[in-house]
This record gives sequence, C-alpha cells and structure tokens, in this order.
Amino acid sequence: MATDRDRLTESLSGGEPIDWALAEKSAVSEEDRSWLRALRDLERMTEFHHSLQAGVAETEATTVQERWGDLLLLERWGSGANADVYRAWDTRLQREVAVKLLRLQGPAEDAAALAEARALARVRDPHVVMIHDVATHDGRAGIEMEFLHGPTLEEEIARRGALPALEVARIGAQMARALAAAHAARVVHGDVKPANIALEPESRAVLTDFGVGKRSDVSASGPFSGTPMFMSPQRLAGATATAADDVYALGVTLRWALGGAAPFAAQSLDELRAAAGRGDVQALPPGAPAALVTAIAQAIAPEVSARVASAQALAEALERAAGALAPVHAAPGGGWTTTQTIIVAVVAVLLAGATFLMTRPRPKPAPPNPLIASEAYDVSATLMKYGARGSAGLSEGDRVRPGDRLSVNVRGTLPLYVYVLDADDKGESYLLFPQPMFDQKNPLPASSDITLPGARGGKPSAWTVTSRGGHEHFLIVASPSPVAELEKDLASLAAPMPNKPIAYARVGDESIERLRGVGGVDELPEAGSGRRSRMNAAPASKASAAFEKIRALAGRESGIRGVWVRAVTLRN
Amino acid sequence: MTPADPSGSQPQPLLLATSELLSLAKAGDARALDSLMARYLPRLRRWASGRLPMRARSLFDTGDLVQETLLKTFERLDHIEVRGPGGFQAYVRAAVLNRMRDEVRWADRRRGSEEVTDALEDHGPSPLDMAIGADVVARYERALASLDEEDRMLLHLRIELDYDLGEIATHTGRATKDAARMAVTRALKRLADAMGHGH
Repeated sequence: MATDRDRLTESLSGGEPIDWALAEKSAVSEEDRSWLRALRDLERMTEFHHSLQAGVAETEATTVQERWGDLLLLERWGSGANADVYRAWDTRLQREVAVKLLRLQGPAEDAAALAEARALARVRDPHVVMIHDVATHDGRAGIEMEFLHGPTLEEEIARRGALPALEVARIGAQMARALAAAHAARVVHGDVKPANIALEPESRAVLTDFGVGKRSDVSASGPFSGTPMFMSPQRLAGATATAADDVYALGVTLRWALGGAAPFAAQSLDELRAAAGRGDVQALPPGAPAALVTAIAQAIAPEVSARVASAQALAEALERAAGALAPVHAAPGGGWTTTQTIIVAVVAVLLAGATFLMTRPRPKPAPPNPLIASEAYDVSATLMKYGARGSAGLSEGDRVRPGDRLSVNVRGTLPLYVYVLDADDKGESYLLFPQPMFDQKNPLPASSDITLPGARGGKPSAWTVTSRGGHEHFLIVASPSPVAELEKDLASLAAPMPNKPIAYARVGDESIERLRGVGGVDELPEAGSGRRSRMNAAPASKASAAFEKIRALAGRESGIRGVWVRAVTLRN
Repeated sequence: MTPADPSGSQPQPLLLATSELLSLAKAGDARALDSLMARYLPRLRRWASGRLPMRARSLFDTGDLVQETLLKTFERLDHIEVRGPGGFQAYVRAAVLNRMRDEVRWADRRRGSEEVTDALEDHGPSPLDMAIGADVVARYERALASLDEEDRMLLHLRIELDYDLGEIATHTGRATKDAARMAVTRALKRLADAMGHGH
C-alpha cells in the first residue's frame, strides 16, 4: 500500500477529497488499517481547523497589506453603508484596536462625523467605548477606538433567550450610567439597542456605536426591522433624537432582554407607532421582579413627562433593583466580598517600560506651588499585593496577575492628604483613592499605619487586578494640604450608591501636568537635604537607574516639604 | 490607505519568508515585526480558541493571551534559541499552550480550588477534543512531538493554521507551490506513520 499512502497523503495535503471506502478496500494488513485511521483522523483535524479559521483568509487577503496611519489593518470586522470597521494593530503603541473608517459623501460630512467622534472622546465612562484617536489619513477619515471582544447583547439574547433579572438590571445600570456620562457631555447616542451593547469580560457592558457618521431616518411607512423598535413615539413621529429618547431606547432594550422577545407586537411602522404610543408592551414571564419591571416601565413611558427624568435617575433605579436581587457571597480566602472588590482595569498593551508621567508632553512650565514651603514631614508608602502566595510589598517592575489584590500602606508624621492614582498603558489616569464609599477619609491621621483604600461598610477592601497584559502605573501622592487639582477631579464623582459599580474619577491631563509641576519632577522642592527628584525620572545612566530603584524599594522618605510623589510601575 | 510599501523598491514584507522576516525583525525592522504579527496573530488566536478547555473559557481572554505571547516572543527574539522558522513556530506554539496552562492554574488557585493541576485537559474537553476525540488529540500531539522542527512547522501551518500551499511556499521560502506541497505531503506521511503506530 506504499503507493496508496503517497497518493492519499498528497490528496490530504492539497485539500482534495479522499475516497475512504476505496482506500479501506486496498488495506491488506492491520498496519495499513491503523495507518488509514490515523490519516482519517488527520483529515478530521484539518477540517476542524479549516472551520475554525473560516473567514481569516479572505480578510487577510483584502486587508493585511493596508494601513491607516499607524494602524495595520488586520481584519475587516464589519461594513455598513457609511463605514467599514476593522480590527487593527496599532504599530506605534503595540496594541490591538478597532478602527472605523468612514465612507461619507464629502469633506463636510467627514468633518461633522469627526466632530461627533471628538465629542464622544470627551465622554469618560468605563461603559462607553473608548475613543483613542480621530483623524484623517490618505483622505480617509476614521476613528480609532477600543477593540471589544465580547458578544453583543443581541447575540446573547438570541443565544440564551430571556436573561436573568439580575443580569438585566446590572447591564441596564451600567448602560444608564454610560448614557448619563454621554448626556453630561452633550452627546446623544441616538441608536441604543441590544446590537450596540458589547458584553465584555468581568461583567463589563460597553455602549458602542454612537452613530458617528450614520443617519437614522425613519421612513414614513412600510415594513421595518431593528432600530425603529427602540425609537420613542416622539422619534417615530419624526422628532430629532434627544437624551429622553436614549432613555426610552434603553428601556426597550432591557425589556427585550428580560422578556427574551420584542416588547411590541408590531408588524409595520404604523402598528409600532400605535403600540408604542399606547405603551402596549407584551406581557413578561411571571415572576419578573417588581422593582426592575417598574424601573423599565418608567423608562418606556410614552409621554416624556411621565418618563424617568434622566439616565442618571434610571441608573439609580436599576442599581436599587440589582441590589435587591444580588445575593451576598463570601469570597474565598479572608472575608472579601464581591461588593467590596474594586476593579482595576488593566489593559493589554505594552509600552516599553515608560511611566505615564514621563511620556506625557509638557506644553508649558507649571506654575510654582505654594505647598512646597510648608512644614517638613516624613512619609512611608508601600504598595502591597495579596495573592495566592500570600502578601508582599511591591517594587518597581514587579509582576502582578489577575486576582491579586492591591493596597497601599501609608504612614506620615503629619496628617496627610493621600491620593492613589492608577494609569493604564493607554495613558488614562484614574483616581483610586480617596473615594466617597470608603470609610477612610483624608486627611489621614498622623503617626498611624493606614491601609488604603481602607474599609467599605466596615469591611476591608482592596483593588483587584482583573485582567492582564502590559504595565500598570501607580502614583502615590501625599501632601499636608489638599491637592487642588486632584480634589477637582474628585468633585466630579457621583454620590456612592449601595452595590453600584464604582466609578473612578479620571484624572485629566491638566491635573497630571500640574502634579508634575508640584511633585518634584521638574521643579525640585528644596528641603534642605540636597536631594534630587523623588520621582522616577528617566535615569541618565544604569547607575542612576539602580539608585532610583533602591529609592523606590526603600519605601520611606524624610524631611519632605510640600507634595510628595512616588510612582511604581508594575508588570502584569 | 496606503500599501505597506508604496515605493515598491523593497520586497513586500508579506511576501517575505518567515525566516527573512525574523532576520529583519532581529535587526530592528519594525515593519518586519508588524508583518509577522499580521501574519500569525489572527490565525493563532483562532487555533488557540480551539485548544482551550470549555470549562476554562470564562477565565481569561484567549485572544489577549496569544497576542501577549506573540509580542513577548518578538521582544525576546535575540534571547530565544530560534534556529529558523521551524524553531520560531515551535516556540510560539508551545508558548501559547504553556501560557494557557499557566492561566488555568492561576485561575484555579485564585478560586481556591483544592486541586490545582498542570494539565489543561483536566479542565474538561476543548472544542478540538470534542470534535476529534481527546485520545486522538493526545496521539496527534505525541506524534507531532516525534517529528523534526521543519515538519512540525509545515504541519502547524497546513493543518492548524489552515494556510494553503501557496502561502506555505511564501512563508517557508520555497520556490513554488508544488515544492511546498511535496514538503507538506512528506511531513503528513511521517505524522500519519507516527500516529498509526500509536493505534
């Protein structure tokens, strides 16, 4: 059967069909039959992988040689009437992104779409898709944004049918918060629907597709599908989309998720107008929790005056509903509970070891800081990790992994205002402490060992690393007086609500620049000790790099005046 | 949008063999790294998704893991014993599988599992196991491990990453599609021989 073996393997290597019945007839020994079984297994193996890789070849063939600015287009992810979406590789920042390349009618339309995208980029909320860049390259306008891996809510409903009430309430609360943030930035989504909600790992729902570059006209009559189902009676009557319409669309979306089917039984636009105008929704399965049903009903009230007042108010109602539904779990290993766990979003980006402070441009010199002349004090601050292998102090360059819990141990000789910031490799900075929900408040008392973020509701809390990849940059700031720039960011936080996801304050570039000025990176506070910068400024040599590392390891400083800052970059 | 090499004076990176791209990448050519990433990331991600046990699918993102593994491989090209494209492929394949094992092990520990195991297979069947049978997959892995690097690379490209013979010719620096077909056929035959002996 030697010749047959050659022929059969050649057929398999070329992807040609094999007549197995004929091959088996020619098998004369047990060894032949074993060999044939092996080859058949390999054919199945090949077919399995062929199905797994389906679609890659076409997208590679059409896109991998194309670039858009610094982006290498890897795969066409979707196409619409006015835009193509690609999965792409940012060759400058070495990260995977999505890019929406617009196909509009002309410069005016491009400019309008890009202006919308820039407005969206100003929306700061973990549940709003993050815009990285808005630009035009080679005559084609586009928007670079966060790449989302998860399925859409639409796909999830199609796969699972009606979703559990708690899941609906949590998704709804996150989406309502996202809309509240968008509305605060005067951005109206205009097309909230299950297909525009991505369900990412770690129970993070993300509102996508803010309608940049799209038109959302409703035809006067005729059959319809999709978007009109989520339009308020006012929009169905031809009105321009408003924040109240977004709230309504989210209500319909949640009603759909809770019931597993379209809320309105309508076969035409006229029927939909009539049903939506009457608020004539399909019955829900028995047992739907009243608080959630009521919250949704208030969102889809036909009259705007009867509708819940804002996305913020809807978020609060949904959070209350979720809180009433959520079981309380004791997490393994020491009394942590899920509601006390704080998520540190860690992005999968590599940025070659630069700390975020050092990479930011510095457009103008920072003004002098009056705090620098204050009373001298000592401070020690250590970043701690509680992982599967116990607790340990963290030093520059140490590795953390998903599941590790992080805290900061602080001690000062004066009452101190302490701030903990986290920056991801995207350059986004978050203020992790202080936060309104923690029992620990600034100023921290003098001469006591304090663990941050401290307790929440009397129980210890920590920041938990939930995903991996890249670097995580922590900045610990201490000062005898409030640091005005950071306090300003804190003031933007909403009041804490029981069981609601924590919204961290994003720290603006201006605050960071100001902090650079006061923190000693460029304007060294003269404490009489002759010390140079306490920040991990870019080392001039290997020796100075080692020196900086030793300083970071020491975890203690003395004779400080004004603002004290330490940066620690961790690998994850 | 512009092509990767608008001047046309240099070979398109995507038409270079992996060995050539590796050499350029080692010399610091960023375009070569980009091309390697574009060449392998999408397919490696899909391949890895077929190897991750179903019960472990919610623990981490396979795509992130593959991307990170590939990036780390590129960062350490100078320090990794990669003798040629076969060695590179073998390294990346093994690195991705090892990372999946590590991640599952860490997730077990984090969840406080009493039994922490190194075997990915102990977390239930993967999609590949379910499609082919775990015993066949194990036999395939054993047989593959018995072959040399060149054969393993060719089979990885053809069977697991589903490259056609023309692409394999380009990636492996063979002059023609027929030459690639001959090499793949020989590797397949050796693999079937090794698997047949395991029956």
